[in-house]
Amino acid sequence: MRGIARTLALAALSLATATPLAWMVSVSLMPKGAAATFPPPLWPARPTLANYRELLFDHAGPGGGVTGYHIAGAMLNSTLLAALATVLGLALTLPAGYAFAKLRFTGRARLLQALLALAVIPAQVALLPLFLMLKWAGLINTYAGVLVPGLAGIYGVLFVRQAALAIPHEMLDAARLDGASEWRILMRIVLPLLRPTVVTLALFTFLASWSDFLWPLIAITDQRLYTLPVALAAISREHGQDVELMMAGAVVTTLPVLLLFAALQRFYFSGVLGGGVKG
Amino acid sequence: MAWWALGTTGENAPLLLPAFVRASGIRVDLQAVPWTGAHEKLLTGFAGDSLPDVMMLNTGWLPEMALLGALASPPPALLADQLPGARAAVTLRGQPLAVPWTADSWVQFYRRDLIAAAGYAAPPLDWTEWTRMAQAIIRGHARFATLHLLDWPEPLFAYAAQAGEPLLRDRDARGNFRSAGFRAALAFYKQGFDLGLTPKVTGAEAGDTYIGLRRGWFAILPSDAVFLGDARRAEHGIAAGSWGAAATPGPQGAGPMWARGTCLAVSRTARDPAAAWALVSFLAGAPLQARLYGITGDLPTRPSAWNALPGDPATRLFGKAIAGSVPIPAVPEWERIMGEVQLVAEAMVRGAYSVDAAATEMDARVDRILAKRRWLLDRGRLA
Amino acid sequence: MRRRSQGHAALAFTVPVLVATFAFLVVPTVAGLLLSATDFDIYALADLRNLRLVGLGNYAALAHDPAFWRAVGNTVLLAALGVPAAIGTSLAAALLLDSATVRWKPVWRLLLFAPYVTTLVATALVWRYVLDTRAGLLNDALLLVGIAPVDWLGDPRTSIPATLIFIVWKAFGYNMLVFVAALATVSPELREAARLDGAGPLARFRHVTLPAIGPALVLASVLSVANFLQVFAEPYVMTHGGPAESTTTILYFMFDQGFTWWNLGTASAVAVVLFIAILALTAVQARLAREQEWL
Repeated sequence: MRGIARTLALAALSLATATPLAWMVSVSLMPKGAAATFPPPLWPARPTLANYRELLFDHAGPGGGVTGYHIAGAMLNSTLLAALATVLGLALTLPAGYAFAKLRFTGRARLLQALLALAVIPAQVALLPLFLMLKWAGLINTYAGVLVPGLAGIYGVLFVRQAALAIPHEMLDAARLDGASEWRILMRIVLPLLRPTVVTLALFTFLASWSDFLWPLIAITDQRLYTLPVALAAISREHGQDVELMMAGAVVTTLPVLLLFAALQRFYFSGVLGGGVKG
Repeated sequence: MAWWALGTTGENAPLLLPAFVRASGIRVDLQAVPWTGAHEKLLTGFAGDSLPDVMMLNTGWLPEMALLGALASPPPALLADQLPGARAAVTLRGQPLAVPWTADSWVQFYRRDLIAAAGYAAPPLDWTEWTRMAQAIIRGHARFATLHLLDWPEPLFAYAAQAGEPLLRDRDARGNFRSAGFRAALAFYKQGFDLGLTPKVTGAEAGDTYIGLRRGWFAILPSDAVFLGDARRAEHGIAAGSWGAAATPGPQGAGPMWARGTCLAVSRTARDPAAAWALVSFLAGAPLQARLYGITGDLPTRPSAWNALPGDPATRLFGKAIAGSVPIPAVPEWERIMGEVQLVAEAMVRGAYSVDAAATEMDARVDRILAKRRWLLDRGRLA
Repeated sequence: MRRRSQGHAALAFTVPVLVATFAFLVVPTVAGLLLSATDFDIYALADLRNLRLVGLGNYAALAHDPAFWRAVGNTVLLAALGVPAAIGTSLAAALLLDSATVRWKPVWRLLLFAPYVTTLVATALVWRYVLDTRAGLLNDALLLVGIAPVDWLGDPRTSIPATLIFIVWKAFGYNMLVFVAALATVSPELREAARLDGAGPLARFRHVTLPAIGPALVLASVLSVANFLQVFAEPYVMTHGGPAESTTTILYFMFDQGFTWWNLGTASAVAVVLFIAILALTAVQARLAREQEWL
């Protein structure tokens, strides 16, 4: 009895939580103007993909010219940037996290402390001077300029270190006795053992890069380099009243990461429940 | 070659380009930039060394771009055959900085049926009589008389122009918002909200203003010339003949309006200046200006292009308003000053200030914005 | 010998990320401190000779700027209302998910967590319409229970609560997971013993559950405050900081000063103030962590 009441309560809460996302999909399938009526319709009377067509492909503009929202390009930019950020982030933080956990070297304790102290700095403090630095380096309005701030991956290092601490020393020492190089040990022994951590970190980095807004908003001025959130925010400023179009934009921005997450949720939930990722 | 174009004009610019590309063989990478956010995008573009070769600018931003040294001087030939106000608007200290492209003003568009139902043939042009008409409108013909969006500075500044007092004083280095004229305009603006003649909404809340006009949510839509283009498009549902245009009301009848408009400028860092000026020369030419009017309602800056325009009353009204317009203060901080003044005006409407207190607050904020300008002027480092 | 090869490897493994951290975090942070002592503005952007050293002048000016205090007030209000709301929602959902008798847990967990994964800008747009006065779902739902339409994002008095509804919706799933993990550490024997002792649900929560999740609760609250101090994209997309500057947060103010008007001196001073606030929070957090026995 009790179980049913709680299940119902959870179901109600989950439903309320999921409603805005379901409504987003529903409205994106409505013809223009349909969502602005009162009371707001829950389902499209006649579903249409017109909003997606308008969003993704060049089309005839209001006066007959050909215009487009560059959303397909933004999807490509977002995917490429998030993939690059993930690969670069893993390449930088995995070896370092492992080294801080398992390798003996002078200054390890002090460097670790320094990293912990630096983790306190909010990224926003660095944004303004970072813009000037990248301007002098000629990197504003480039992919590289967007990627750069993410390379200071302190949280990734600490996250990997936490997981790597659990690897038994004997295993590594046995490999060393067999003459394996440290690089080989990292690739062949450590990474396979840390697979859930690696997947979680990769997913986390990908999501963070995909959703990042403030820095790409500043660092990119060319529409052809816009990421999805920046492109979407720009379109909403000019076409904010066009609810159905904006919802189609929200769907193409958010659905890919939701699907990616649903596919990898097993790792993510165990990663978070293991502790150690910043929220 | 990269070109940034603004707003509706930018969205329709793809229509204009094919003829140029065919004739010159130059490929143009056009980006349509929304008006909101365009100013910050241009500044960020300058700061990040990523300005396009050619850009469409609000003429009010020219002092700022001049200060930054961002623009190349146009060839003198492009500045012939221009309305005197348009040429003045792109010239700073005798130096032209850009080529005028579109001219604009600010008028009231009204629904004939609703104004007639209130007992008027057209909206009166003086504040007292206009208010009487507006009160008649809301007594049963429409929910509101007009729409002054709270995050748009245009309506307030339009009334300020009517009052005819300079907005800055002391070498344009201090606010002059406590002047009797501005305070009268501010009081008229506030009264519109206090009497329920206009809703207290921002642009985001108001949604599509044409739907509001069509459904009779309000009877009068103050607007620039973009209305002329939009009214022709079926999607906005504004029937021809259902609306009229009247000048912005003033304290004693319609007075002058601020000079508004856009221009085309070439970046100092343009890779191929000759090609960039070729594009400007094409776009700002009289035939194209007349064609642009046909597409978007943007009004020409060249007298010869005006000759090709239809003589309908609304277009003639704009022509008259443009001819009688006065320049806005030529300071780099102008865009920010307008935004800041409107923020105070919004707070006033929502009850935070009286008219006098709001004017005092505006002067205080504007003086703070202009502090660096005063310092530079005092040291002779700014002409 | 082996020791030295480990040292070499460690050097190769750690130097890249350390260099990146130094170049892209430490250097700009120090530069930000320096920048906050100048009056870098559009005149300096035009010509660096127009740059003045003003010492603490930017901070003094901020202290006298009502717009800055407004932003601080808005941010504090967001955090003061938002932290209890967000933590409370997370805890309620976690307690429900924790009970042994509930069915189909993975489904509910995924649905409740989904908003956390979504892209902020996209869902902020969705909520802009959900909160719409005339055609929004929320007012439609409220009408069913007889509540008159609320002008959520258009009224300066409701714009902060409206923004909060979105923020809580977006974020509560994360702490929900943290709390579920903490609740899993409560031994079933202890719960059962408390139940047999005749303790009511409230007493059991107070004496069995709360001590177990207390530390997680405190940590989550502190981190939550830090997150609320950094709210930016929500007002940028939903309200542009309005109406009447009622949703202008500290970070929005910084962005406006810095990247709209290029007053990098003022904006850097705001960034430093934000930094100090977060530093102070971290100190509080460290202290609470040391005194974990408080419950």
